[in-house]
Amino acid sequence: MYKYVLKRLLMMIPVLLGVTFLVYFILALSPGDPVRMILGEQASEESVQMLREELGLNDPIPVRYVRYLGGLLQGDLGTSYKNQLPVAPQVLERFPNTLILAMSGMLVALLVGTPLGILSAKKQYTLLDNATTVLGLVGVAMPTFWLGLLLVLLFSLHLGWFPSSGMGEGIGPLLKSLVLPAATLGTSCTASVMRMTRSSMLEVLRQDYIDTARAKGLKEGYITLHHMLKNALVPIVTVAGLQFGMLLGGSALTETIFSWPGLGRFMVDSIKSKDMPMVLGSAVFLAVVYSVVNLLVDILYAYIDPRIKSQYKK
Amino acid sequence: MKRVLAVALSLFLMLALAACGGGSGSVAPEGDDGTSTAAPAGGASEAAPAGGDEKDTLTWVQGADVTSLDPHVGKETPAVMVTCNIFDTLLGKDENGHPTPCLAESWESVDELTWTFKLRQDVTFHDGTPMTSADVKFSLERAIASAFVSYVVDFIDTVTADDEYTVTIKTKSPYGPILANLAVPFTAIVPKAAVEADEDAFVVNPIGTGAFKFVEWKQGDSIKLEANENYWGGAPATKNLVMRVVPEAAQRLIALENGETDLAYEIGPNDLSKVRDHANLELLEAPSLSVFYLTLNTQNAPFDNVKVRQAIRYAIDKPLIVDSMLYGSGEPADATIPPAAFGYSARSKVYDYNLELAKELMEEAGYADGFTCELSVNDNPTRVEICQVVQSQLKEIGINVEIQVLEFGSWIDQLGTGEHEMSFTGWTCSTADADYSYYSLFHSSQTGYPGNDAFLMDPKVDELVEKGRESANGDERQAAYDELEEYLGDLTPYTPIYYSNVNVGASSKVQNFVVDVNGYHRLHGVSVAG
Repeated sequence: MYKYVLKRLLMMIPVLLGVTFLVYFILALSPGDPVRMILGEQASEESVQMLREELGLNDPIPVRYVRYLGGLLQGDLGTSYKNQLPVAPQVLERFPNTLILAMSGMLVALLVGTPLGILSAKKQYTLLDNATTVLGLVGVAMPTFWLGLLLVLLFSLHLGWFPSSGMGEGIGPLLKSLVLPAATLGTSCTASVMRMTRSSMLEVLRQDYIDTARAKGLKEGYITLHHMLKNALVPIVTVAGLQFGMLLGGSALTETIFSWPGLGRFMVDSIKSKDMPMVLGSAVFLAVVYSVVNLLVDILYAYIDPRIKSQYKK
Repeated sequence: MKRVLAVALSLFLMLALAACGGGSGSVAPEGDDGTSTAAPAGGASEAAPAGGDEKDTLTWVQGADVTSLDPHVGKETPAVMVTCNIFDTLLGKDENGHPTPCLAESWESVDELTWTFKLRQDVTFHDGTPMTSADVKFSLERAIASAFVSYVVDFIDTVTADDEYTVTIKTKSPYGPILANLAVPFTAIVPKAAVEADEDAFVVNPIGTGAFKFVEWKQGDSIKLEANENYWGGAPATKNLVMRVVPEAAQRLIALENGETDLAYEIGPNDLSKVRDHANLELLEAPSLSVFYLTLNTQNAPFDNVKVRQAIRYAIDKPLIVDSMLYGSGEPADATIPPAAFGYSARSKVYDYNLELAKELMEEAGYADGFTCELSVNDNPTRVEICQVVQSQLKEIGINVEIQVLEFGSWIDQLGTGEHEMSFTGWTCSTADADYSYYSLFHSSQTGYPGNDAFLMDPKVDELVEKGRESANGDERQAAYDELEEYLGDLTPYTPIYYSNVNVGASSKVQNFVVDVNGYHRLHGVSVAG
């Protein structure tokens, strides 16, 4: 097991190299000069030259890339082009906010998606099943940004229950400000979790050991939780893990609508202004987090299914 | 494990429910930002027990976060919206754009290259140290050395501290607009001792001489400021300021309607009427220093032909664009200089919408059957929509316009290298002095990136621009600009379309708010009724 984890951790090194390589060259080769983006339409030629020199942009791209990697090896994520502040603290300041939002979104998804999935699997082809399927599809299809605004209109403007935007300070206000963004973010994930739970449960539902359990006289609820769900859990956890990883990096829209000071919005802003160190810093950081989440999911398999655990030992 | 999860989930739910339930009546008097969701009427009776009391916290929302709190780096409007309340400059500006005393109480021009400034003697920085000529020298030199803002101060040759409260500035060449430039917030005066001691600390904990002291910056979320009770201009009317970042324009309006904020900067064009019609809100507007126009590359056919350029000006229905695309939030423009700037001339030639005349001019130019050309624009939805209107209007006189939407960086490169035929662009006269626009947009030394993307090279224009720049006498400068504007009337390298408005949505309880034409709203005297 430890060997397996170690192997996976080592595999993160080529992954990170690949991420930095791709992001660096895509940004460096895309049209538009970062210096002119930063200084705007009215910059004088002297200022442009001055800043380009200051940021080291006169060197060839491969040289800059190697220099960046050199810094990265020493844990230096560089300095932002735009505000001249070190990148690492800015990324770290925003990451917890994204984490809180992603976890709440995931919680909503699991809380709603799993029970609905179980229910619709057990009542396959009934009205309930069809209704949840339709709801699920609507959830996936609904644009985040539209749903977010609708929720704000109803719950902030008309009912006044929750703040329309921002991140509250202190536990109470924080939870209150979390409800709408988490619901928005969770909706699309809910659908995937629900669909996966349903199909995975359906596979287990007709196994012989379920009939055996029933024949033993076990209660249906116990069978559902301990015999069906436990065996159906691996694909659900896989989907949930992937979704969670996506939420961490891909919640930029939700963060923008709700003015949530998270990493996704920050990254999009940085891409727009071609602030390479900021984009790279966030991308590297997110790649690490994503890899770790995936690793955790894989480790979780071992606890869910002992058969997989025995495989890790090899 | 499942049990742990279940307990955790139920705990979360309970907390969430508790938080929702207890909300309605609890408007925190300290002004917990973003949490007071009570209806405006209910909140008012509760928060103002003494009647007529003022709220001690003023909250505003703006579309983007501060880039940098260092005034010599953060030159973007969202940054200056905050830092102009923390820092002061040597000079200020009155509502007509004329220089007024600020940290400098008087000034004089010794000769055409030399200016002396007498500083106020009662000014201290937020850390208690007095502001002296050494700080002024240090600050201006720091601004000159900063690639971000040096373009505003690079006319300065040397700064010397004559005595503790007198500063002499020598310019590289005669420079008339000097006073306007020294009122631009990027020339803010910073404390020499504090910056030299620890610059890294200073840029995240700025110390200025302004009406408000910096308290906290939660990046991407909010900034808190508190009143500087010892402010040389008198203690501010409100004790605490909170700036919150709300990127979505629709959400800024909702926050304002909800009472979550007192002021909302930059209301979206399609929300303007909503604010105007709202019983508890007010829309505060002022014409900005930004002009939007078509730039025509005068180096290549067909735009090297004056008659074609004039025809285009007659063919564009400016009031229609302002009414339909900007929802009335702007003014049709006849010149590239905004009326609020010093040096604006009323002698600009007015081209009113006149299709017949436009067609005649096209015929005279030899383009009776029209031609096809490209109109480039950066990927900003409003700008692209305006280009579509221009496209349909120019079709009337036979010009077949193809719109080319470019990403900002590529677009700047296209204009800078002169690869464009026609482009829709804008210019802000940041210093509120006409020289800033005339020199960059019309002088032959500024073609391409620096601003003259019409690639106009005309000796007479150069001569008049220089005349306006070099004189220290206001009347002489105005005379040069009047002559220049008359001369440009027929030459018309640009097709001005409109001046945009700066707008702010305000709760009707906000008092004494003055809209700044640059969008740098100063909140020293602003208060909010309880």
